[in-house]
Amino acid sequence: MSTDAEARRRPPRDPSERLASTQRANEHQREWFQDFRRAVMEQSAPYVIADAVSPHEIFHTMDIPVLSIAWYSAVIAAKQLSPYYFDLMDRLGYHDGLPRYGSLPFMTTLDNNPERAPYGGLPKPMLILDRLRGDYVQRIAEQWARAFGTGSFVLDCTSPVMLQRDWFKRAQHDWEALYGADRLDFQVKQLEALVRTAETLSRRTFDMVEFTRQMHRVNRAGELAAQARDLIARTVPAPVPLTEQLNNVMAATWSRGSQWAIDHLQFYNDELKGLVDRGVAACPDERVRLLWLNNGLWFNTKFYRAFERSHGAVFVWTMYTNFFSDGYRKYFDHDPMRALAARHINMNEQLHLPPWMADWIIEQARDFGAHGAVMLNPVGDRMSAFGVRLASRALERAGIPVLELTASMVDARLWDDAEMTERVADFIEQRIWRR
Amino acid sequence: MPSRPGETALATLHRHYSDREGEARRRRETGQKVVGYLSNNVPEELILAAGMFPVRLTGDPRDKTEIADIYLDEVFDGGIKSIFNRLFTGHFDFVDLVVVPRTSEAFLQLYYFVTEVRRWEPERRVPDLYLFDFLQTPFYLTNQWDRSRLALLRSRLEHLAGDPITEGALREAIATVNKDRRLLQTAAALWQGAPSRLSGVDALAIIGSGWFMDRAEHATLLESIIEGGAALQPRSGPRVMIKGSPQDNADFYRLVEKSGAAIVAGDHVFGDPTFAALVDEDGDPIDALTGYYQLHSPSIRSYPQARQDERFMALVGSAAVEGVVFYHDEYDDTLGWDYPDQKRLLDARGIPSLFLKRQSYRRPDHVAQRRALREFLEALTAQTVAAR
Repeated sequence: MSTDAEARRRPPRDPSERLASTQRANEHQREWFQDFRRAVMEQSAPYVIADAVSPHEIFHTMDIPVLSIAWYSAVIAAKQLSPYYFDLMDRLGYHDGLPRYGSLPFMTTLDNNPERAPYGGLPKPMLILDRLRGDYVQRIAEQWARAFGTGSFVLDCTSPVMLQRDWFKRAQHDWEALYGADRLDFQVKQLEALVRTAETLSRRTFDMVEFTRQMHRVNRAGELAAQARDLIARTVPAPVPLTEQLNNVMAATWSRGSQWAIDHLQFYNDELKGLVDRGVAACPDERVRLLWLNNGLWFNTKFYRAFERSHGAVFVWTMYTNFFSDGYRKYFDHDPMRALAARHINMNEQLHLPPWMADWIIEQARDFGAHGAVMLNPVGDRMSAFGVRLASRALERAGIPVLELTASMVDARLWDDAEMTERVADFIEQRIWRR
Repeated sequence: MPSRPGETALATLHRHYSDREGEARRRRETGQKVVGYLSNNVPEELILAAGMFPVRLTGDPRDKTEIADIYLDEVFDGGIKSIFNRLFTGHFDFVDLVVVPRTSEAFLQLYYFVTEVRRWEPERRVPDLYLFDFLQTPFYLTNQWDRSRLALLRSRLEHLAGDPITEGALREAIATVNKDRRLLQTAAALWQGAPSRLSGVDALAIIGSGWFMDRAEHATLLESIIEGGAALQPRSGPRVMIKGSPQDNADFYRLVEKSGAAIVAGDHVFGDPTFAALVDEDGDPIDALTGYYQLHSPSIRSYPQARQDERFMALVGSAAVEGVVFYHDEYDDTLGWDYPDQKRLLDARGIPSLFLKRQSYRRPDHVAQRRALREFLEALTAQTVAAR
């Protein structure tokens, strides 16, 4: 690890300068969506709307595009359109306490205004795929499918009797024991039913050889994501800000299984290494390393960089930048379908439930040498708000100060930038500088 | 003066409804094992067949929640916080096992949080918890999974009882609970019927007491209430249904009826849907229980919603409901998705509704509730009179 003195000598990086890999990632996303629109709108190709934590791999194998609900929600929020759609929710009678994050894309369908919706809105999908974490997801899937005049496929969720410790150390190779054979058997049967449904609707055949290849590629891409994570974790000051990490890792996550994801993450790693070798830093004056916990602040990602000049404080980690490496990789000898079953079977518990949530974060805080954490306690998304209090207590007990910010992750109307900035600044000054 | 037929029986059911753990404690003192469970989705027939006493565990809005407040997030339902607190403060010290079904996110979270907080509070004695990982999507694969979960629960109960559950005992238990559900279906005419003769508060106690007392005794008392039903005076007031979040106590019902309404149906997990279906008594008992609890025991995860809405509107029709009061908990993130469709269905039939959203479990705003109810009932009465 670099010393503090060495770090201070590093040349500053122009804050507006973006990595070439970030530009490539953004370009890839744009091209992907243009291809998607062309294929779906002009050639009537089938596509699927799917929950972020569902097995997109089935459809990738069949060359059926998958539109991730979380991705489209983030796009809507980034384009500052969430207030309009939330007002629409109110007008339609959906009360203001309902989960907002996953409902934005559904609202674009009910609004039925292609000129307002990002990229002209979503055409009718072949299928809406959802995994029944929480109790409300099934409602949205059912109503959304009805609004489109299409079908939905729901994957039911079994639950482990015990959340065994150190999931992040066992999830890649020891997943059979970690998740349980009977649960995996059931999940495989559900996936096989999904394959048959996709084959029937698309009139295509699922290719096991291609699927196996894709599953290996996901593991390889996950290794490269881990490599990038390790480099950033051990390099002080960090070579890139969180925003660049997010762009690159998330683009690869959405395109997991493709050769592009591997090539892109290799390019990203090479670029990172070049920055480290040249001593370039996101914030040369880095004095404080912070974790951003829980969901991302999608309508205001600038906030992640708001404390670099004033406090030398850099956000270095979120679950989004690390989950590809720790959560997605599932190594297998002969049964890729069972490995896929293992991939999504406990994603929610890993990210949001005690003790799995806190155990993982504490491990990351140590790896990154973090001085503290800012935890988003999301408004209007109860599923993501469960576990915040106990995770905060666990982190504090492990010696990691935590600031909880109660805010919506997508609703800009509820965000008071001045107040939130002051709260984080105060947290750094009172809880971290004074330690 | 001798009491009218059913009057004493009704008073007995009210007593069990109020003293929810009394019978279970008495059973425990006599040496019988007691199994607590949450919701409608745990097969009490299995517990009965194992020779143990089943008791539904509930929260109470009057409880302090000092332990829950330390560990549970603000967004947990009030009833869940209360149950969590009771588990950690010895309130449920009479149970040998608590069965927690995975039929709502809140129950699942409760299970994991109790499991974890035990490590943080090692000095506190907490009953053993069993996660009953039961699913309710209406699919064949789900049915096969559920059958295997029922077999595991059966094993766990047999281990606790120290004896195997025989098929004969299981059939007898199914018949006992079915008989009680059938009598509830008959008794329901006393509040759902026209004229309505029993209050919603009485209905809650009649239905709910069955979870806290001996089922056979409950059935006998129901027979007595049914027998005396015709002698009860017809009730006046607009005929109202309460719909939405769990009504685990009678406070809100009492407030609604004091405001002048006659509650004739309750569409929630402590209300009328809990006895609407029966377990098949002819086939394999485990298959029959699996099918019943997968498809017919009401829960927030019942699916698809369109089918639930058909059932809701059928109850609105059969109980001649004139107005619906939707009542949703403070942190509801689920039922609110159903509301626009349900309101549209009511509007199409010209049935007015009142939406009380985001209602606090522990500190409901009674003043605001009374005001909203008064305005709603005045308008409803005027409409009903005009229609007649």
